[in-house]
Amino acid sequence: MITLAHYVILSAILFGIGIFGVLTRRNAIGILMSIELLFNAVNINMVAFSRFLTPDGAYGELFTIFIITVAAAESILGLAIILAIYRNRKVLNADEMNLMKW
Amino acid sequence: MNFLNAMPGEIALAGIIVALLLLDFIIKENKAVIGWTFTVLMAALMVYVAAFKTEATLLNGAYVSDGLSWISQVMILLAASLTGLLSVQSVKTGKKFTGAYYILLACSTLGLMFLVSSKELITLYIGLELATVSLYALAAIYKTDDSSTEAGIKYLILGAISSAILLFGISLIYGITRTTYIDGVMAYTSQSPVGPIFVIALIMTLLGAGFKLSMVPMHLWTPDVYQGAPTPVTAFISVASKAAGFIFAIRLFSYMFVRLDYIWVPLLSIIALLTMTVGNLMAIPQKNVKRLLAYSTISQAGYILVGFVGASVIGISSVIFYLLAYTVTNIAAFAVVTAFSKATGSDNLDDYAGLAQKEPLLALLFMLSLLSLAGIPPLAGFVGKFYLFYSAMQKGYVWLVVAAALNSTISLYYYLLILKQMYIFDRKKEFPKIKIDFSVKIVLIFTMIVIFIMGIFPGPVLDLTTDIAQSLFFK
Amino acid sequence: MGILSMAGIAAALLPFLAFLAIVTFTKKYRNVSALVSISATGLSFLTACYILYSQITAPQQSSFNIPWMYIAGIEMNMGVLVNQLTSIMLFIVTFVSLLVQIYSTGYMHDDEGYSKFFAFLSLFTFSMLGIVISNNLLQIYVFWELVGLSSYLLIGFWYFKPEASDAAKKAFVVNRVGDFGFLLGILIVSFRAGTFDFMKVIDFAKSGAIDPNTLTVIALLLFCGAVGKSAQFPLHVWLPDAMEGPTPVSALIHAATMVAAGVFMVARLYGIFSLSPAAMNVIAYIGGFTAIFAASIALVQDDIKRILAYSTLSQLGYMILALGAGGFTAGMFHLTTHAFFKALLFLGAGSVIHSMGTNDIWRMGGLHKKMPITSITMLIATLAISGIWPFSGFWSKDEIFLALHNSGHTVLYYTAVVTAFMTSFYMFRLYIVTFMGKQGEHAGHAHESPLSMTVPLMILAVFSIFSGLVGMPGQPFNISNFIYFGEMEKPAGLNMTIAYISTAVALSGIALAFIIYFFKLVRAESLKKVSGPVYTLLKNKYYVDEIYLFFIRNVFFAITAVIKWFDRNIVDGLVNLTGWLVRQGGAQLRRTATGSVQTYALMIFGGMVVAMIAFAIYNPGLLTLFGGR
Repeated sequence: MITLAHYVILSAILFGIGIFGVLTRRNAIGILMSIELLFNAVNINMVAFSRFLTPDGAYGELFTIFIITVAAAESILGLAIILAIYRNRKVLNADEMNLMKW
Repeated sequence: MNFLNAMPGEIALAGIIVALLLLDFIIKENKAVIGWTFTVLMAALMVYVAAFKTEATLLNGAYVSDGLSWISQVMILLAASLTGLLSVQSVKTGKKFTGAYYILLACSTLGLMFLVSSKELITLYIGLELATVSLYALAAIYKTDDSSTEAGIKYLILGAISSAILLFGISLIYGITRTTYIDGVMAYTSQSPVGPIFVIALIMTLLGAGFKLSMVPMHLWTPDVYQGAPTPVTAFISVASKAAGFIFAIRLFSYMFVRLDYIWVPLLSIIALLTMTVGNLMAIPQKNVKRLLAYSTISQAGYILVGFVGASVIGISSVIFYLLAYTVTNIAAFAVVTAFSKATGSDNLDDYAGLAQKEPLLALLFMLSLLSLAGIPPLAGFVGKFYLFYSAMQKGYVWLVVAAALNSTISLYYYLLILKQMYIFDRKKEFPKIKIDFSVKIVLIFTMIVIFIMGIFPGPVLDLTTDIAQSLFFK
Repeated sequence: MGILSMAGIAAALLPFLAFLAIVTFTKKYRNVSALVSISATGLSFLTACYILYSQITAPQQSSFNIPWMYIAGIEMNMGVLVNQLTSIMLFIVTFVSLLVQIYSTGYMHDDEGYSKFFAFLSLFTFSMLGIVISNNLLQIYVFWELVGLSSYLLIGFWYFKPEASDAAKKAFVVNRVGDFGFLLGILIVSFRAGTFDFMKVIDFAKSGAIDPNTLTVIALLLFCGAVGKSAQFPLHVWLPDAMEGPTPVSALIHAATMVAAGVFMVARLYGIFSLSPAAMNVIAYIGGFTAIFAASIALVQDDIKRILAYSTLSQLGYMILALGAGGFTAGMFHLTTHAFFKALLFLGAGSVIHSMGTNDIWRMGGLHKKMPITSITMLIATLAISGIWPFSGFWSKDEIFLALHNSGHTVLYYTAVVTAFMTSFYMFRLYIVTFMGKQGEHAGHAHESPLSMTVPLMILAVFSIFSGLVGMPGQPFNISNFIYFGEMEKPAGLNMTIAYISTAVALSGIALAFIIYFFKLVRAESLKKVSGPVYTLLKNKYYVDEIYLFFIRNVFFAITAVIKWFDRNIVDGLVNLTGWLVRQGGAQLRRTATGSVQTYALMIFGGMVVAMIAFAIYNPGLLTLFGGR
């Protein structure tokens, strides 16, 4: 029997993996993908809560759809900017994007 | 409920965005027209919103027009029109992107207006993202410029991370309270005890919301983005986006979590202390004016957080007052930076040496805005700071007020470093004569008048903000 | 906002606009500057006339108030209050200021800082009018300091003269002492009452909410302000030195208007003072002492302006004395008449100095033939100050004597009478030595001053003669029906005994002056020998300056040396240490901004985790999953 707790723990694990990815991927695109994991962890949470706690309303599902849309927009914008940086400087690694510091 | 009556500002702004799109199609050559149209329409809309205050609740309480949203919408539209003025003659994006620039600016403004009026977490999130996604693109609008694109990607990655944290917190709150309405969450917290999961959710929400406020530990994006983004965009981020963030924080902490103040007040007071101290200390060694102002805005955020700690009517009232003062003052400072960097192509602090001899007026205006930021009477910043600290004092947070006062002194040190450059040192390099554009002149004159009026004569504005804060608490 | 309040604001703001205009635009064009300043003051004067006229026809209280700030339960407003007292002061200030400015076009004609002079005069007029129209303590304090500033600027107008810049500093520092007490008084009473507003503060004091002892302390602290500004003993030392400023300045600021600000303030807050009999007594005795003390010094001075300065001190003492003895009307009446005849005396002295180039009365003499207009107008003013019927001084002094007599202060009454004797003696000494007798060594090339200077003299002379008649019993308009405290006083009848005594005293003073200095029946030199140590004491002004200096050099400097050491070594050391720490902190913290997005992300997540762990430690109960609050 899969309970709510399973979903929440899954989501927490996914969030942790996302954090790990954000902190360790050198490639900027990899970081963007890890951020997607963070969002998806939230989505799992939302859908599970909606299914188990408020079966007669669809707030969680609604929220999830919005999150997916916004995350897509963000990814596109991120990829576009990374592309622009690559064209200018031939750089893809996040730790080399450090012209401005201190 | 009639939407047109309840949210005329937002609907008109959506119309303006469509109109700007069409205008971008129609006008092929003289793209400056779009900028002027944007500025004039924003100013007109601000006057309209300010003059016709609406009180309404829409969508079962998901969206409200109340005093708080009214004054913050006026503030945001004011910032938008002033940013428009700053941009018109200084942002050189090329014909292809001029339209996009102002449309994005308008979209961001619309998002911020949604953000300050939402009382439901989904709506709030949509407003937040509409505002910030547009700002990511705006920061990277000079797409062949290394700094600009780098600012864009850093802003985007860190922004996305913090909205993920915010969302995770919200999802937990939803799981616990089974509602996404702010009123519902508040009702839950006043009836049921909260467990540790709720505390985790609260911390995540607080930190997620803190990104826009650039509070420690979410502060490090600020200097990089401020430095890399076009100066008018920086001004907009530092003013409108931050003000909306604080209004959002007011809705969260002084309303939604108001019963849990025993949890977030200690946390927030430590964050406030860290934020102002870190901002001030890191500002001291800076050599780039925009970067220095970025750290200065971090410390300003720390001061404003002091007002939350009071969690009282006077605290919220002083937060709103300070936001108003801070908006005009920061815009004024960035206006000077815009004018200077347009003429000389430099943001380097050393190049400001001897500005007072060459451009006494520009130096004077910069000095006034910096002194207002430092909180020197009789300028607006002084009154704002005074009331912020006073509210915390009333609640017994003496240590915090002492720390804040010490921090004000530290901040004076680096503001005076700039003044020393301008007034005492001699010019090292020869720069062309700085011609202040007409549009920037309007910004400077307007902001100076407001800074002085709010500083010398704060009574009426304070009455207004106190009324708003009061209506927020007793409903 | 009533029309009178608006007129009051306009009257005060006009000179300020003139100041701004001169400073920003017309600095280079001297005649334009003078014209701007004079026309602004002229308009201001007309406004004041209108206010005075409407107050006379229909006395009323017009006030206007806008909220400024509200802190800790104390309301701070900005506003104006126009009533009878205000209207008479507005009239005096604008009138004398206007005449002095016209006079200055002649007197300062060859001065390089001509525009600057008019700018400062305008600033002064604005500040003084600001005091007059204020309706609250905070605002009056602001203008009080502004007046002090403009006085400082004008005393030190010839800043290249060391005496002038020293005198300016002295005036400023001595005034600070009084102002400190004044500020303390304002703060105590306002924090008690929760407001700065005059009327509300007075009502609060009247309601008995302040215990009598505290009230006395408050009244005395407030009076400190008047002691400083109106140069009462022991803070009188700045006024004689202030004569280093240009003579028109002495006439306007240090004789007619600014020094009267202290008296005016006491009158404005009379509701508080009158509640404390002890404070009233202190005020009366300080006033009486200053009156006789300064008059005795004036007996032996040689500098024409210093004689007038000590006479001003003495006359201010009269006013304070009258107020302290309960003679509200008498004090304000004397302030009014004194403003006219003392301004006249100073301007006349200025006219003499202008043509002679010296201040020493013994080097003048026989000037009557050379300068007839100056001489005649000076004679009128001298008669007025001596209190000879029917000149203005007679009426106002008589009211003071009457008030003293009625209040039962016998000692003070006789002090005032003796002072009157001295006054007429030293004033006629001055007049005889300067204008009568043989021509002095410098008198040969003396000449009458230009019209711009003599016309103001003549106008003032008219006022010096007739302004006293408003106090004459038995005519329809009487000042005691216009300016009074509490219940309207019934017009004081002329007590013939007192009138005879004062006239007799004044006449005998004049007679003595004629005997010694005109007929030379008694030689002044032998008098000096006879009086011996007393003469030396008077000549050296009772050594007050020397005592102060001794105290400052030996006691004050010893204390400050210790403080200086502490400040230089310990405080500065701490400050430097803090500065070093702060800069180091900045340099180290800066390393956290590596420029790499992942460092920043690490800070965000790390901060989140730290906050959560901190909470787990901060409240261990929360760790149990379903524990509540």
